[in-house]
Amino acid sequence: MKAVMSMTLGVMTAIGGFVDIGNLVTSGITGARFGMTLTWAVLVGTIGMALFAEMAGRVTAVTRKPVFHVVRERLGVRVSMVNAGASTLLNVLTLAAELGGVSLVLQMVTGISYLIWVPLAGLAAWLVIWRMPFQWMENIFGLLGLGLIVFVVALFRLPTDWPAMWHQAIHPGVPAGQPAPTWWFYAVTLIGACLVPYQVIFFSSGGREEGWTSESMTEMRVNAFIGFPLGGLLSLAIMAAAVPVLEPAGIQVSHLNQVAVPVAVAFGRAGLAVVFVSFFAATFAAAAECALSSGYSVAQYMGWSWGKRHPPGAAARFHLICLASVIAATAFTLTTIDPVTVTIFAVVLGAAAVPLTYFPILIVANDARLMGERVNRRWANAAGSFFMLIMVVVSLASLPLLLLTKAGQ
Amino acid sequence: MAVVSDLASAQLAARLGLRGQSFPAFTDGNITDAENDADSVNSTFGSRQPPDSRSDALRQKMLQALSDATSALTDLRVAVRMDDRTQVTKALAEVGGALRHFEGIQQELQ
Repeated sequence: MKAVMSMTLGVMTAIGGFVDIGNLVTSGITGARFGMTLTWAVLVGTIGMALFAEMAGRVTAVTRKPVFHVVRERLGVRVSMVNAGASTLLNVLTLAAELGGVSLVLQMVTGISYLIWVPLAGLAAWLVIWRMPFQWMENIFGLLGLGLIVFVVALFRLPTDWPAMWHQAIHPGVPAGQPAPTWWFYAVTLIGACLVPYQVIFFSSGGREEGWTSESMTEMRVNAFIGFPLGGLLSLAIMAAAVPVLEPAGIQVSHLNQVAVPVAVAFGRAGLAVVFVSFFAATFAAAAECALSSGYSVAQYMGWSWGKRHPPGAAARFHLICLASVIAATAFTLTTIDPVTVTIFAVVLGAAAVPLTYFPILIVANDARLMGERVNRRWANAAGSFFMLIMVVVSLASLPLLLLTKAGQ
Repeated sequence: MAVVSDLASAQLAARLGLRGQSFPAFTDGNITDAENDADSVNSTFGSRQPPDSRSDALRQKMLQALSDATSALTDLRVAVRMDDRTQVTKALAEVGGALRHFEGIQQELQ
């Protein structure tokens, strides 16, 4: 039973880390517009995330320090300042998108404008960070987020053309009538949505919150190699559910509620209720993770006491950063910029900054002095270098594609 | 064409609402979003300067179609909020007509 409970972290990171507002939006948009032709992008993002999360988790378990603490020690204060600064800014932007997502879900349920919900969502996220024990946070939202499986089940209820979808998935290409730059732009957003920096910060810092040691290696690897791919599978299911419902009707997704429509077609109100709960859990958990990740990044860089395992009074500056990031993100969301647009920009800018977050992990995990016998094996270095190359290409392509396509028009 | 997507999205949401497969706030939200998006397209298109008289003729035709589409979506939103099934069915027919109008224009342009 204890082993099963410990695996909940994997489920939590799969749902809260993988399926957040970025995945919900980009999977819905691409499924409705390009069918399953961008399946490869989700696979690339998922495998890359699992690979680098395992490295970050291994560094944490072996050194008993979160990965970016080790990065600062190994690469120096100046290099790691770029990393910590970029990560924190992106965390706040992603947090704004997540709070927008939470508020949009509440708007779907109540009909009351999302702007009314934004401050309440921010307050609730901060209260959870401040008061709720780490494991409660993981278990409650992780289990509720599992409701996203309704998208998988819906595929069996909808008129899904499995052979056609499979054909699209294994023969990627720009569908007829669609502009190639836009297709590539959304490929970048899908990869960026899987590789957002807060995921790896939360994963490694969460490992310290849970007290990982070298003995925790199996648990950590299960989380990375089973939990994250499960999250990727749910992203694909959201994409696939749009194909038989939205694509034939010519519906292009530009709002979060449209992503839920295929489940309403399959299961009616019962299915929608499950979607509401799971969307809320996924976005709210991700909001809490983003705010915590801001606190982790800054506190670990500055060498302050950090983490939810300490009472707030013993990690006051860490909690202050978390609170400041929630306030900043809430204020940003209240500017009335469409949360879906904020999400697209967050994942694209995240994609542009991906090497900044992931390259130091590769260096540290390959340092034999630090890692001893747990240093990267040859296969891990080969795979890590290959994915780093992909990340650099994605990073270089992201901003030109953003401008060229006017953010995916 | 963005407005075709808006019309189809609202049509699907209203049908789900009529069949009891959706919650009122969810149906309303989908239709309101579609109406706002179509209205935005209408305003943007209306502000464009046509380069010649042939383009102006097309602009007039498009503006009429966009206006009809926005009006149909407004009628649908009003009917859904009043929970009047007869009016929803009538507005759905208007939305269907607007969709066919755009399909006709698309075929003409090809």
